[in-house]
Amino acid sequence: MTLEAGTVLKRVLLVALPVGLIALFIAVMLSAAVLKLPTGAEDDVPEWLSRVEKHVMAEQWDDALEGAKKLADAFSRVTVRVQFSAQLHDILHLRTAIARAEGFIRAQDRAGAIAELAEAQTLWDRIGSRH
Amino acid sequence: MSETLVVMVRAMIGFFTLLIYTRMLGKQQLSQLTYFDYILGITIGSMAAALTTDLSSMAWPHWVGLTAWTAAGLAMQWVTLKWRFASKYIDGEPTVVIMNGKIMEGAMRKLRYRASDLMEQLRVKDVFDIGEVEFAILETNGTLSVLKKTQFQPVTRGDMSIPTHYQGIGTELIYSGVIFDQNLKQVHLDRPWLEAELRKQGVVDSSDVFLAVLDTSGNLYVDTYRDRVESPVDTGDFPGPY
Repeated sequence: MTLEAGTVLKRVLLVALPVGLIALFIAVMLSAAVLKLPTGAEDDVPEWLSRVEKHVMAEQWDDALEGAKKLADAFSRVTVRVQFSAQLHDILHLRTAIARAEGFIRAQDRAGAIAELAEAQTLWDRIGSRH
Repeated sequence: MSETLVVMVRAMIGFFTLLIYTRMLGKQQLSQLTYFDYILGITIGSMAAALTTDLSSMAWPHWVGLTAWTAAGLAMQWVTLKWRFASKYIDGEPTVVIMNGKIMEGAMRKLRYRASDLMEQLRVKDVFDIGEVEFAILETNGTLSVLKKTQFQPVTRGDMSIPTHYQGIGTELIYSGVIFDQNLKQVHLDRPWLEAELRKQGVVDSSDVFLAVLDTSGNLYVDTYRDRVESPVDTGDFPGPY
């Protein structure tokens, strides 16, 4: 018995549609690990974290403050991409850690700023990770 | 980050995943569900709800949980289909609670099934006198199947030797004004025949028809949008809000 082309196409669609949807959902749910990667200097969170840390260690407070603002901006850009696959708490805590680091930098408190930057680094590593 | 947008995207993921998984789990009617199927449904549903609105955790673990429960449900279905012993062990067996007109107290005690439960389920089956029952079987989904004693069973045409005619399933030819050519072809008829039949019933345009069904005796039932009921029956017991 031969099936008409339309019938075959319908059957393929009946299977392909749910399989495709499930694949799309998995991709969306696990996309953070890929979407957190920088597309340029403006959204390179690890780079800004590293730069701010260096400035804080060298007690270059003006550069550190400028870097902290750039870091907050970079993370805001990344948040738009990873929001569907990351934990809300991680995003909010990371945002808070950056804001607190900025506060410590304003107060020229090296220990506090380094501690907050370390926490921000840990939270950043958790985004997109399933451990 | 927009919580509204995230919840909407996660709702779409949960909704369509649930739709696909429930289709995979089969076509069992709600009334045919065993107690375990019922719990399975509730658990899967609550995981889909958490996937949608619990933003404190990633969507992924909820989705994996949903998938694992569905897979376990499918595995159970497969095992019970292939292995009769497992089927009896997992789904249980129908239990005879009335045999030859006698109540099986021992079987009822094992099921923790009370006499009042039996009487209630008999009443649901329109049996108000337990003396009319020959057999009553409590099915695995909790419903009661009842066989009345022969003297209390209704007389059929067969008992009276009255000749009967074949009666099958009607075929829908029009729904919401749309003619189903595929169904017309199936009963070896065409549009000119249908239009002529509609004209006989005073219908000029098929788009005025809400439903037209052809029965196996060749009679066409037609219901139009305009019903023209002269004295409608009101079942309400107060004027109502409308």
